[in-house]
Amino acid sequence: MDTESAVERYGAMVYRLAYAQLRSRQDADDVFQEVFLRYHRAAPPFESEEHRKAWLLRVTANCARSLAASPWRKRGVPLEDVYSYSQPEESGLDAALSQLPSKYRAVIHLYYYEGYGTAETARILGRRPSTIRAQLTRARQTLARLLKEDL
Amino acid sequence: MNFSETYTRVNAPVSPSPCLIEKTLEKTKAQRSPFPLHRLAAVTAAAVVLLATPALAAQTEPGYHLLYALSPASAQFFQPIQRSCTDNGVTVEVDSVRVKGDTAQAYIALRGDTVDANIDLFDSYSFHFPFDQTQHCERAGFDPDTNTMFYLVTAQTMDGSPIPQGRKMTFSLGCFLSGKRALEGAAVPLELTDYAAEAKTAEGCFRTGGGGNLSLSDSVSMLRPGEALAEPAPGLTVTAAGYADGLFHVQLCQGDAGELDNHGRLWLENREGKRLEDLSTVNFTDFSKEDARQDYQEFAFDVAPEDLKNYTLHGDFYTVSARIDGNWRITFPLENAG
Repeated sequence: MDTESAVERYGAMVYRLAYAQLRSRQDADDVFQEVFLRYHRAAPPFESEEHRKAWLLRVTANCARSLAASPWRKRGVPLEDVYSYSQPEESGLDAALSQLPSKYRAVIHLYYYEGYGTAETARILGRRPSTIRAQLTRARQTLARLLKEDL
Repeated sequence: MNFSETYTRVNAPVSPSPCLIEKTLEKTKAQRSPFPLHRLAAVTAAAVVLLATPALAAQTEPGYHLLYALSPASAQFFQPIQRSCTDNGVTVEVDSVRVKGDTAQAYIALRGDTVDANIDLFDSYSFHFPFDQTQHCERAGFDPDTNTMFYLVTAQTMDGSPIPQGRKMTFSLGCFLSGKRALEGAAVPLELTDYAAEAKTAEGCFRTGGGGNLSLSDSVSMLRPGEALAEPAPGLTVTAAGYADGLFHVQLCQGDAGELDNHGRLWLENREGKRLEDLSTVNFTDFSKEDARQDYQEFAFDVAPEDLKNYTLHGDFYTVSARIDGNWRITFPLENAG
């Protein structure tokens, strides 16, 4: 699959994970470009589409983590750099998510949006499954407290 | 709230903009291939420079010695294997190598018409190893049928560790002396009584050494060199004799000692064959003649002028007929061979 096809097929997936971790459109843009430039330069031969998808998610998570740790990254996020929601449920969840640590947001995104189990999420993020389970539990508890309801 | 559904709705508007996609694809197209030619060329050029610089440096004599001073292992690594080298009609080659434990031995052969049984390497040889070692070189034999002299080089690692596998040693030679002759106990045809008077002394000569019982202070005079009074051996001439500072001096000219290393030793002998050894010997060099360096040995004897009639001059003389210059260098792996 060439890069253009990969962008067409997996571009939104990459961008969403990047945004979920970084909560900044500008940062998500940077990660998006970096991921597909890496794909173009050095993507390994993939055994399957699942393999390709998992590779893209892993690279995205790594790039986002690197950018989040960069001392050059702007700490303040301007209003136009985030998505806004008109519905109270969505804006409330968005506000709660923004208060979660980045590592929890990645786990939540892969589990609830991409539909991966804890084992697959662990492989993609390079963490132990027990760590993923613990982080998932804490993320839920935090969000429930923020949203004042059970997840 | 259904968290999964709400979370999905929250993510619905999150997507890369068309502008971002276009920009990203433009960047990837600009890279044309995973290994674009200009990038490949740059990497290749960098690799060539990084690898070739020490390799090229090692091919030149100064570069090799500089690299060897910095890293013997690197210098030896870049030396190409060359088991034989011929220059000026003489071939230097490695005959065999034996490696056992911490010791490596190599037989090195010099072969050519100017190679004889008494050749002298004239301290112009050197060994280079890629590890710390002690080494020595000794004559191993001469084959008159092929005019080949064999040398045995023995090297041992300093720390007693085994000789590293696949490493190389280099033997270099710049010249050797051929036609070496020794004339010992020879009488010098010089009538000593003809030189019983004070002799003119030299100025401006450069003292290079000496020995004997007198100190080598600047007060010790040297006779002014003149025409050859006698030639006790080819290349060695007596160029002055006479008294200075109350001592009887005899001056032996060696020619250019740096070229051939001709030298000798003089003594006086009475009719009964009893020797009168010199009281001091002074070596000096006269650089006054351009392109004609002359080295001298001057022997001073404590003998009165009136007693000269009781003595004759004798000496041992060591000369060579030729110096063979060249640039021989062989490099070979330290592994059993031959």
